[in-house]
Amino acid sequence: MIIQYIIIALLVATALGYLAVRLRKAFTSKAGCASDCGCAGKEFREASISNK
Amino acid sequence: MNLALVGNPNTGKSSLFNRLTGLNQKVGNYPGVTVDKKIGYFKLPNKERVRLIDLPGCYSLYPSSQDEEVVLQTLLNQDGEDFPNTVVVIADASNLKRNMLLVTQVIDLGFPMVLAFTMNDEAQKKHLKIDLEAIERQLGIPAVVVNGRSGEGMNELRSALANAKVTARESLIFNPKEEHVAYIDQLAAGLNEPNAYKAWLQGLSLVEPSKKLSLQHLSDLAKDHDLHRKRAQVKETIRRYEIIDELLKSSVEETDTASASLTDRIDAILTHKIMGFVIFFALLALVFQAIFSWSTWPMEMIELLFEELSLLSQEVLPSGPLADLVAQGILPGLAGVLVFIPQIAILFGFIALLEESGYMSRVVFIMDKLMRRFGLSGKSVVPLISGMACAIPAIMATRTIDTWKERLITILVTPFTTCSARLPVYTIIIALVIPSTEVFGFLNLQGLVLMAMYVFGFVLAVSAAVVFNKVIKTKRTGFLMLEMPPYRLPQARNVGLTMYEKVKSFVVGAGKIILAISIVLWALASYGPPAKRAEARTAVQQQAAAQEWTQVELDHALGAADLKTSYIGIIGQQIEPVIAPLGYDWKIGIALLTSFAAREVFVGTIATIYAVGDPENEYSIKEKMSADVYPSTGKPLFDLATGISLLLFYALAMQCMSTVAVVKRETKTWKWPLIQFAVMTAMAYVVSLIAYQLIS
Repeated sequence: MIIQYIIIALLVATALGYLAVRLRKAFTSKAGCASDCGCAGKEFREASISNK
Repeated sequence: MNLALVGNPNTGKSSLFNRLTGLNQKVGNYPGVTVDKKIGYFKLPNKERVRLIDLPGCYSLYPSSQDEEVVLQTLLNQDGEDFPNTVVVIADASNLKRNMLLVTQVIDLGFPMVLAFTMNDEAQKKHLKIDLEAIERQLGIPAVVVNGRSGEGMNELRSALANAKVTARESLIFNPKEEHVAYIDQLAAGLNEPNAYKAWLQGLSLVEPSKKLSLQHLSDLAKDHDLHRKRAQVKETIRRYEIIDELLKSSVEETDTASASLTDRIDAILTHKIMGFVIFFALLALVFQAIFSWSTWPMEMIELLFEELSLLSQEVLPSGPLADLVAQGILPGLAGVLVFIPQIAILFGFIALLEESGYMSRVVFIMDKLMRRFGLSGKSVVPLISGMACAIPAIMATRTIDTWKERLITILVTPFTTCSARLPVYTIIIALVIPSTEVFGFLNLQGLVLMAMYVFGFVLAVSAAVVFNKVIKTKRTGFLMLEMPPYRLPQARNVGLTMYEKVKSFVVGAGKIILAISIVLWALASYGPPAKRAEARTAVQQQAAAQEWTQVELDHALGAADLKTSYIGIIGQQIEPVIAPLGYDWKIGIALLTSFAAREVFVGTIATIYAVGDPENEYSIKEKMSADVYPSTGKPLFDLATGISLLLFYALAMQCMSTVAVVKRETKTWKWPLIQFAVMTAMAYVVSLIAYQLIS
């Protein structure tokens, strides 16, 4: 049972850390948001793709 | 090879870029799709590797917006990493005269280049026949016909590029030195720039691609030689059009000028001052009906799948807190997001169809006419309409607006338009409080209410702009120059790609936040101060014993007591007095708080809180919300008054951290995002309060 609580504590800490990083990225990334999606970031980030 | 792709907006530049590099990217019809630089790689027939930069669309090398400045700076700044050694300039064959202005300017910059004609099929429909050899002969550069959508002419383009190094034209089409010898000599010497036209552009455009001469120095030099920037620009443009007229006379044959094109005939109806709006609203009604009626079955399937997964996880995983986290935290949270995939796909499928067909530009056109009446200029229309997908790219699209005050107003009002993150909130609340009855025999009331929410958002944005115009007192000088692309049959591949990308962005973008919040929420909802919890449980057990409750009744009461004495319950009850006048209980209050990260988090939050409160987890989120009652009165929590109040709150409140961030970045100050946040949230509170008090 203790192991389960340790895993949960780690998961909660990871989730909080992720939310904090996401918030920081929102205010510092070039795209203006922290999204990894294609909505804005993709159009504003330099997309570099090699055509094999 | 460092290759740059230059051309007017809507000439098929993005399609050509995709075709050459294999980069899948959205191909839209109205201005503002290509906003910043995009880079891709491909190989020429001689195996040479090409780095291709797709520059923003521009009409000439005299910039009138930040996007167009990027083009000029890239082409002039020899020290820049993107400075090309070869250029492909794209010209829309069906609109040659306008496109050739930029073509002749780029030629005069002296780059080795290839001229690529696109939209040749449209030119043929207009009975225009281009003599490629005559064009090549007169301009002194290779020319090819390409089609980025079908791939036609790609081999010819690659071959022409491989040979382009030796084809740079030596003499200028427009030589400013003919009239301004002393000025150009002085400028060229100061800039150390042998190309007279490059020196001329640097001198007159007053952008700072070179550190060799300061902007002040350039300005003084123009004054010394009595050169007025705008006049010199107009003179050059007139001269170039004279040359272009001559060129086109001998290289383009117009075989039939009498028949009006199909596009013109359709435009006469779709951009009609009355019919245009009737058709637009009919299409909107169709979209919102479809969002409700077509998505029912797939949404139910997704809900069922997650209910089964939740039950399965409880059976398979050893009983304990980890199994509870999966069954009551992670799975309900994820279900809250994934269940909206069908609706998001339908909405963006329709938007992609309208963009692909060319209709979206007509919507911008008719809206421009309407919005001028409210004192808004045309360039604000594109951000306001694209805000219906997401406010972030819409706010970035305001960079095309020349005047700062007008741009600021557009930035401030854009978050009122209904973005796709509001869709899950609206649909679940509408489904709860609005009956699914038929109106006029064929329209669903829920779909109509959803449409009304979209119209409401747009009306709010326009009304706020009218108020801001009065407060900020802007001089409106901007106007909209809008490309009307010919109507095209939408390509299933492009529509499918847009739907896939948007669904992916919704699931991946919002999903990760919702997953993280669900884990934190579950922990906060599952644990609480032990003494307080024990006290609450004892009270429930005593009540159960006194009133002879069944085991099921006792379990439910214990679950509710545990939730109320959890950390989240304690926080929620602290904020309840503030939100109770709006008709919300503490659970909605928590969802409101987490929604400030992103609006769609509302559904995930509610799903997690209800799952923890109901350990058996046998009902869908909608059923649980529908069954919830105010403990004091026993009346349903989600009734019409609370529902309308919540809809209005979400329509008005600024609940998106990413939008706050992008407004801060675009306005370069905290002042405006904070004002926007405070005003919108205060409005949301007051309007929701009034609505709830009136309806209840």
